[in-house]
Amino acid sequence: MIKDTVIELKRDFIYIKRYIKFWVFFLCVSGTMALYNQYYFKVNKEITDLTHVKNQLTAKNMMLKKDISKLSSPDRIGKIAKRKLGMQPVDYSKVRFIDK
Amino acid sequence: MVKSRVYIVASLIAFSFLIVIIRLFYFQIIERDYFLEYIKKQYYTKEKIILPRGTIYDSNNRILGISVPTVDIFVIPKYIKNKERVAKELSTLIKKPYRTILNKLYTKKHYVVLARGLDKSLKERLLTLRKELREWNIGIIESSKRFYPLGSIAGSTIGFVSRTTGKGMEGLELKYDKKLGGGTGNILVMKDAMGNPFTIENEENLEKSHDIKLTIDSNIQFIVEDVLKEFVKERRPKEALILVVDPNTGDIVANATYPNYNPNRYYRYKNHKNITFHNAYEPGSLAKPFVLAEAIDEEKISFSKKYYCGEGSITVDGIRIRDHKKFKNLTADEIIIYSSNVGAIEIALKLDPDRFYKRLFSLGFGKSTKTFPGEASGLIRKDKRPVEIAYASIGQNWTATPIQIAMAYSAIANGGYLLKPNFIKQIINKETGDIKKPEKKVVGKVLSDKSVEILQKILKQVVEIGTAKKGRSNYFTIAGKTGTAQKYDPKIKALSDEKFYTWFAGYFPAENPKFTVVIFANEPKRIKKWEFIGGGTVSAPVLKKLVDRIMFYYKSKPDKNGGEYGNKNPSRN
Repeated sequence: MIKDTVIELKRDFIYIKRYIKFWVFFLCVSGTMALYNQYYFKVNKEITDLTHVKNQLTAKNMMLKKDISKLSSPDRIGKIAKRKLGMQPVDYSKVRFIDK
Repeated sequence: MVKSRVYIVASLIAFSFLIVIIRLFYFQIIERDYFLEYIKKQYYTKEKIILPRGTIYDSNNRILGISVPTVDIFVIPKYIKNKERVAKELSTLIKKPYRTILNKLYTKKHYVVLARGLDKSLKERLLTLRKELREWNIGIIESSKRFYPLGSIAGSTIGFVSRTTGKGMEGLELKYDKKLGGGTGNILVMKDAMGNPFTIENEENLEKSHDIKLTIDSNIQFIVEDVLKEFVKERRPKEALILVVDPNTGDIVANATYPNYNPNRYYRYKNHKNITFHNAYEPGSLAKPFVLAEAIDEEKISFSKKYYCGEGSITVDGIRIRDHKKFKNLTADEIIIYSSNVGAIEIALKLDPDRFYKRLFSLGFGKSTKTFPGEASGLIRKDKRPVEIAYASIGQNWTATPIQIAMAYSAIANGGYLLKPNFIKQIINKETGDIKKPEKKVVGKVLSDKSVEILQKILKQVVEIGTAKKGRSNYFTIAGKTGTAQKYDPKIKALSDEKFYTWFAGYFPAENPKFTVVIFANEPKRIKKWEFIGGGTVSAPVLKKLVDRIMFYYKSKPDKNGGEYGNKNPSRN
């Protein structure tokens, strides 16, 4: 009985073996597609992360530019010059031009 | 037997695939729209955001307006499980009172904005907090906020952007709205299992924006505003302005107005006017040099002859028009230097009325320069009756905007060419880096060489010995003209003797003009009771302070007395 089943399975296997190329091809294509998919998602995730970092840096850059402008405001510098440093608006009578 | 089994297995597999294909066909084709919507609801979120606009720079590359990336926080209150804890944690993070947040969380509204315009650096901490609290109904949206680092400096000129629509509402923000971009846009964001935005799937209405570099120099603007502030404190006018223009290019270098506003808090101000462009006023005696220019071209004036300027008044068509002094006899140039009304009227009445009005129109009066949104055009009625010609010659029955006055006086300074005023130095494409420089626009030659030559000499004398002598600088030559116009008082239904517009318009250095300046005040108050209010006493003195400061900023050597002052140091000699 067992012997018959083994023989039968062997025959099945021989029959399946005839289509082995098809199965290998099928598995290869599926595997490649799965790998490609994984790679695609990985790259996509990297792009998203890098875009996120880029946005963060752009935002920081903008904030720094804004701060520079705020700190270099003539109004602020004028106040510091007048109040803290006791400077006064220029009087041309005290200016000497040196001609070359 | 074997063959049949294989066929059975193969058919089963094929059948299974067929079911999958049918099912896929059902999902992908028949019910495609329904499932797309379903997935969108579950994994995608469409967020309306305020888009960043282009940056506005001054001529020295200092930022005047910038879009700063921010985040807005909103919640769906009914789904917030632990309101007290959320309020407590958010209050420390976003620095808002605990009570305010808690009250918002207890409102019955479906959707509540807890904070707008927060620093974007808080976003990571907000996301972590949301994860820790497991409150997925706290929403965080990236947005942007327009910020003006110099505050109110050039506020009324730059204008502002709406906080809700992100679109330019006033000033240059409105004028160059399309170029600067911005507004609102929708972003389709794919969320991960935790509800965090994962990737941007689609962007709608995201217009390209340009950066803009203005002709305004924020340092000059500051000097001008500082001088104007002092002037307003002293004279308490209803409105006032100082406008500085480059007469050779038409570039607007500084424009200080009172009232002004801080565009960062535009919603706190009722008035967003820029009186340089939005209002037109009677120019008073500023019109007289143009009357003289027309008389020169029509050859109806002699500079060797003296004109009788009456005993302080003249009667035209039965209407008595007063002068501010009894001048008796004056030469043509003295009529302008001392600003005689009677003298100017006598000259104007000799002119061809059509050519006289044509001259005023050709100088740019009566039509908008289209430089600023909502710009006024001023009003000139072409009434040829002698009394109307008389009033027009002393700038009393027609109006002009301060920018028109500045461009007309720039024409005297630059050899007779009327230029179109300009605010833009460069338009920069952010993506390609391409720079577009607008060209100087000459409207036309509006004054003859002969009249320009004579007017330049006379206007210098106005500041040296004439009505503007209070504005004379010890170091620089200035040319210009004062103007005083009586305001119409509806109470007495006549021209008021108490309310005036006072003007000064001119340019400096007179020999090689670099700047045209207009100084204007509406209803300035007397400092002393007996004081005469006029362009010479009110507007001209401002000039002195202004010219020396501006010229020192450019490290210019004094041009008066052959530059003698510049090489001497009185304290040492």
